[in-house]
Amino acid sequence: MKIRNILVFISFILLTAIVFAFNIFGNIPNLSLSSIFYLDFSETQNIVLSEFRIPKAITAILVGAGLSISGVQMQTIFRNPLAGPYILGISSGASLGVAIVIFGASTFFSFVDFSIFGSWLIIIAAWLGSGILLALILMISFRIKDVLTILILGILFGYATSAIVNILQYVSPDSSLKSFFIWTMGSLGSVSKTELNIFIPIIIIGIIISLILSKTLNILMLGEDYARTLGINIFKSRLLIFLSTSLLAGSIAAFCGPIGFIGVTVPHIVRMLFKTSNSFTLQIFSIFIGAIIMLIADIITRISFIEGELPINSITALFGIPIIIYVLINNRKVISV
Amino acid sequence: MDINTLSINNLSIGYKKGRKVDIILSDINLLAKPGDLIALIGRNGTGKSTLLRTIVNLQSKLTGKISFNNKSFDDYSNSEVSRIVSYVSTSRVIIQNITSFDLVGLGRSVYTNIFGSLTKNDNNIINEALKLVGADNIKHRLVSELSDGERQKIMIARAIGQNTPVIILDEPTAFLDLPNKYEVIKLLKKITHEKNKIIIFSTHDLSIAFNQINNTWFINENKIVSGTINELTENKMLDSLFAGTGIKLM
Repeated sequence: MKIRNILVFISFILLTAIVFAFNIFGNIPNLSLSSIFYLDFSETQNIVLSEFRIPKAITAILVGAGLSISGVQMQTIFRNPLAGPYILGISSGASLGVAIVIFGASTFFSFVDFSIFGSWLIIIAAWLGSGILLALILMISFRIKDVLTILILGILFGYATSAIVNILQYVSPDSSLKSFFIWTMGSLGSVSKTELNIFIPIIIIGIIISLILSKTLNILMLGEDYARTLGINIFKSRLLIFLSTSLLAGSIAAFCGPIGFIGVTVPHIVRMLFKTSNSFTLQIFSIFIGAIIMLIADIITRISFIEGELPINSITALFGIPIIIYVLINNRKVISV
Repeated sequence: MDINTLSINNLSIGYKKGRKVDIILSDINLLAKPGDLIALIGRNGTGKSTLLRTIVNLQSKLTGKISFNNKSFDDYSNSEVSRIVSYVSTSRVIIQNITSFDLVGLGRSVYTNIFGSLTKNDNNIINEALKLVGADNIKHRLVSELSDGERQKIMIARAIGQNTPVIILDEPTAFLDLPNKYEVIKLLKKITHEKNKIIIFSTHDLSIAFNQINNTWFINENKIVSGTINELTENKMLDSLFAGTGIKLM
């Protein structure tokens, strides 16, 4: 059993590497197989690869891995198959922060011209927004024991923030509306090489915390009463799980916009493939499958009949929703609590 | 006092809502010794679950003391308590893709390392627990595909795997058919006997349990008394179970 898992692990590393190669080398003009083999590129090819393709592919891997692993955490802690990294209102908090910056800046500093993605202002605003919303949820979680109530509160907070965002949109000029709309569609290409220096360690730290929490997650599957009689401190473990999720999902929303459906869908694919409930196994393979799916989704955005790229969020939604429908129809026994 | 004894002194239980205190039961004084199979009986809403939840520390007590080995639970850490009492609740555990073996294995998490990896010794204990409850043949099956009776056995095996001197079960025979009710009670008897544990369970199936248990804790009119079935019948205590219903015990 264990040896089999190690073999599967190694083949997933290889598979990720192959998809990564397809992602970065695909559709580059005048690129021959031999130049890939000898890593012998022309100057333009070099620039395309090192400045655009490779940072974007690395971003795709980080986004896919981070969202999927926090999807496992949220589905476990809420014991709900529809829970995902954004269920706590993390993305709506981020979008409120971004909306305030984009609409506020355009209203008060109309002369300032800042590009939407790449801007640290946007990233910090998204972080702050999701962080504040998470702090609210944590404060409530300290008083309210029932995890389903917390789930519903997270959703309500999400509605409240999007109501505020709507008001901001209504009173804002058209030019900033488009910027905000583009942010909500998500983008993998917006993370620059310098930003990656921060993005990579954050996601790695988030993933390490998540993996260390595997045992706690396994016990939490039994429900909180059982977990407490097994010596688990519910508040402390919730705190750590929420923190790692906001580190992962909050940063991803900050750098790439709210990318949907990956976090909800990938854990289900892993459950179907591996027939396991072990959080460690689920998280490890969610990292790979999440990364592979984001790399493929990124390739798909390039196959376009129009100029530019398709919005990544539409691709992930069209991919994820059928799988969620399949899971809901086939696992009613597991889902009805 | 004897070792491994669970004693409850001047305990009162209930709920605190802000400043308001809802006392459900007070002046509770009870004792349980290794090898005791105790049925907690009383009508609906008299506080059976509250008492059991207070003993396993899922709910804080209002006043009084619960102690094990002459040491109050307040002086044990969370993880120490989890090595003294294990609990089987009424809630149905629904986990996708978990086998009976792995579920029982979660009971070992009290003893395993940070990654929860099972040692050879853990595996032996899990297998033994499964054998004891007679679930050896279903250990590789998914828990979501088991019948209610089989699942209850697995939950009991999980508590055995936790390897605690005290096991508390909240209505372990509810939702089971008649043969399964008998089987579960007999199983509890077997565990108390073979493992010299204290087992306390709440139940409405007194007619099934009465010749297996060696003590009852009986809740009536906000008081709880302890005694064997015979003592309770002689004192006409059990009659009060049917108070207001027109039913009389012969």
